[in-house]
Amino acid sequence: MPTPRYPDPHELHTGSVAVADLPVEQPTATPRRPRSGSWLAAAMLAVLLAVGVVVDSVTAENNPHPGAAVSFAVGEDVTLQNFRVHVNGARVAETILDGERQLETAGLWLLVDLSYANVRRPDLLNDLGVRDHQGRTYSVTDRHSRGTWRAAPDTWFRGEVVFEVPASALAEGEVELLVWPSGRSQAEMVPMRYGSTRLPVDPAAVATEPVEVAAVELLPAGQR
Amino acid sequence: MSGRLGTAALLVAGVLALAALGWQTSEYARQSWWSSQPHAALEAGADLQGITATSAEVARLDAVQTWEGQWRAPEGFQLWSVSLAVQTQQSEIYAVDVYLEDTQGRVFEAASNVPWSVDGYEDRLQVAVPEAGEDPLPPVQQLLVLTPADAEPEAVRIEGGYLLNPEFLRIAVQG
Repeated sequence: MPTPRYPDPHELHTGSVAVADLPVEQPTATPRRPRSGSWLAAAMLAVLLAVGVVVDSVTAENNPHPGAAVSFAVGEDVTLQNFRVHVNGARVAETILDGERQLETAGLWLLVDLSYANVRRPDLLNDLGVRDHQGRTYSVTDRHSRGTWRAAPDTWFRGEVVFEVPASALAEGEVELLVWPSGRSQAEMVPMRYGSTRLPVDPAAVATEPVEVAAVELLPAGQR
Repeated sequence: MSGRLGTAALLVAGVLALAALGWQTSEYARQSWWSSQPHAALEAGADLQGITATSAEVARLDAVQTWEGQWRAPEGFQLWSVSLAVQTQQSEIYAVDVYLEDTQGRVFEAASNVPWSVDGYEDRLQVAVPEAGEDPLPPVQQLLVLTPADAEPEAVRIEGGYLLNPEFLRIAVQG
């Protein structure tokens, strides 16, 4: 007859006096239960190993944690890491001026009017993009010089950044403007915030005369 | 007893797994983020690879004289003069950047958004021992800084970018 692992002193006492007369409930043998601490530790170890394997296998191609888009509206301030950005609008032209030189394009020039300042320390906002309704993404053109945006904390600069896009990119009357405060590659590889706004563009209002791109200017306090 | 030993072993294994995971995921922070940015502040008088700054004075300016006439800060901004007493014993680094830090923790770069080549003011802090025949470094160098009007200076930072990071000099503003 199996014996319990931890005899109850009370049971021993009653058992020695009246086993035959008193229907004492005998303890039953039970399988040894694993301690809850062991299960917890084992579960923790399994989870950690699983996370480790996942992290170890992450590459740029299968990264499950790309950046998180922060939606903002044209005409409102948005804070993205070390930048505060304010988009004023956009216009479209067939030809732009770079100094006295005319720049032609097989598509259209999209000029985005925006302002930005820094939050903590001076930094340049280098990476902006435009995505059309087909999912095609365009970077700021390197055919036109942007000028120097020497932004600083609460020191706003305003100007136009220029994109070269096919006419079909503007067919839907709006594009998505993307603001990558740490660069596009970072935004696509690590869970960092980037800005996204729907930017209305009138494909019928295309300037046919050469357009001068607005020069970068330091704004008086309070202006955007 | 063996159950307790097993639990302890699993816990140790868990901690080791966590440490290994943390080590791997912090690779960027350890190898790039910390060493590529100014994180370790040294106080006045400390030696930063042969460069020492003993005092920093900051004063409000109404205007400065440029080649094109008098220049005033734009509306809503304040112009400052930063004076730094710097000693150097090195010739590897020619010039470093100066920043003004305010009480809100905002950092503003000297010589940014102000006129260039203003008499008596540097664009960057000169920190190389002059070569034979060159003028000695002035005992005090001055730079211009533009900030929003509400900025209250707290410290001057001397940073050398990748040449000096993660260390930089942070000198509390006097007066």
